Amino acid sequence: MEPSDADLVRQCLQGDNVGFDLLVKRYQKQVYGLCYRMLGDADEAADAAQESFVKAYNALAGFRLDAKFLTWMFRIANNTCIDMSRQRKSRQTVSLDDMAGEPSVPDSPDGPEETVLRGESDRLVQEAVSRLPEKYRTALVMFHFSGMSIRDISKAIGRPEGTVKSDLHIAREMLRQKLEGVVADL
Amino acid sequence: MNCTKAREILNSLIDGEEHTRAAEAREHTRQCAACREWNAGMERTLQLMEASPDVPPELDVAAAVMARLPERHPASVTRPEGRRFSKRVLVWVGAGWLIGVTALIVAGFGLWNLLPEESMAGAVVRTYGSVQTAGLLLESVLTGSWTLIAAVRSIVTGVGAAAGGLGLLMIQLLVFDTAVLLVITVMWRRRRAAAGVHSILA
Repeated sequence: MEPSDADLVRQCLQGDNVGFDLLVKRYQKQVYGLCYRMLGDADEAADAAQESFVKAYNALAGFRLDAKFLTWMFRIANNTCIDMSRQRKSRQTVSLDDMAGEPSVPDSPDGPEETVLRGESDRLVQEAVSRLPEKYRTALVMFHFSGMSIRDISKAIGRPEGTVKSDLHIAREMLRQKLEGVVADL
Repeated sequence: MNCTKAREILNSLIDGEEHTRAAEAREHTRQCAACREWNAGMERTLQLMEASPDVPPELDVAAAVMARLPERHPASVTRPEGRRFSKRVLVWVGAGWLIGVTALIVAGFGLWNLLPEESMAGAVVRTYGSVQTAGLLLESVLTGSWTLIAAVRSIVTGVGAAAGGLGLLMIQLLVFDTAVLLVITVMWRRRRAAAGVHSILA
């Protein structure tokens, strides 16, 4: 039987880092996925995921064992991404109109043709997501890409469920408008 | 139903919620060209998000993360197994000290009340032979004795709590004793004042 998240946290706090290693392996894809959607860049997302886990390790003593580890991790990852996003804001420009750029997109296990098509649509979606204001991006990414419930998002970002819902609706509407026309032919 | 309401309901359905007016909203969307277009755009957007590739399968940040961590978690060094003091325990110890000190103050106040007044009350008995004053003297001695016993008990319990005996029971005992001491002292002084002992002595 696999040890629970709480068991692994306890193991780590007792001085055995193997517990944390297992937690990282258990959740790295979800955390990376959130970071990738928040930042829109595979390399930056890997850095953000790494940084998030290190922050989590340092804050582990404050983790409530009855809470969901992944929700707590998402909160840390989201804050890390927002910090990174703000730091690079001045030097990065993303434009839906500028299709010539080649942003870093995660590799896909599909064949070359599918990869091109999926890569293209994903790039469009990702660019549109990247241009959403922070709070709307967070709600959208956590709900649609990380598969979190509205309740868990509310816990992760410390905002009321009603606000999360409202942010999510606005985010979807903004995304729809950004993708309108651009994706009609795909 | 207007377009705003219909879209609000459709958004709730996308969130996975149920809505009593869902059928009405769908019917509105079928009949309203603007909402049909809005709904088609929203569905395309959702499809694109769902079709978006997931993370790279070879992703592994574990090694890089573990390389940045110390050999042992700092909490395990500062809080060795078997000798941990949780926050709750520290709060109890703090409360124990606080109540113990309060008990000492109250006991001191009780003693201060007891000693000089008892001797003065004795003088009053000798001088005036008043039955009322003699009653007060007896009451003073009894109350003072009880005050002393309760104070000693409070101090012992307070020291026990502070030294690590801890526990809700000890704290409750301290609170009870302290409250009794306060009540007795206040009542005692009031009764004395009401009986005019001070004015007799003056």
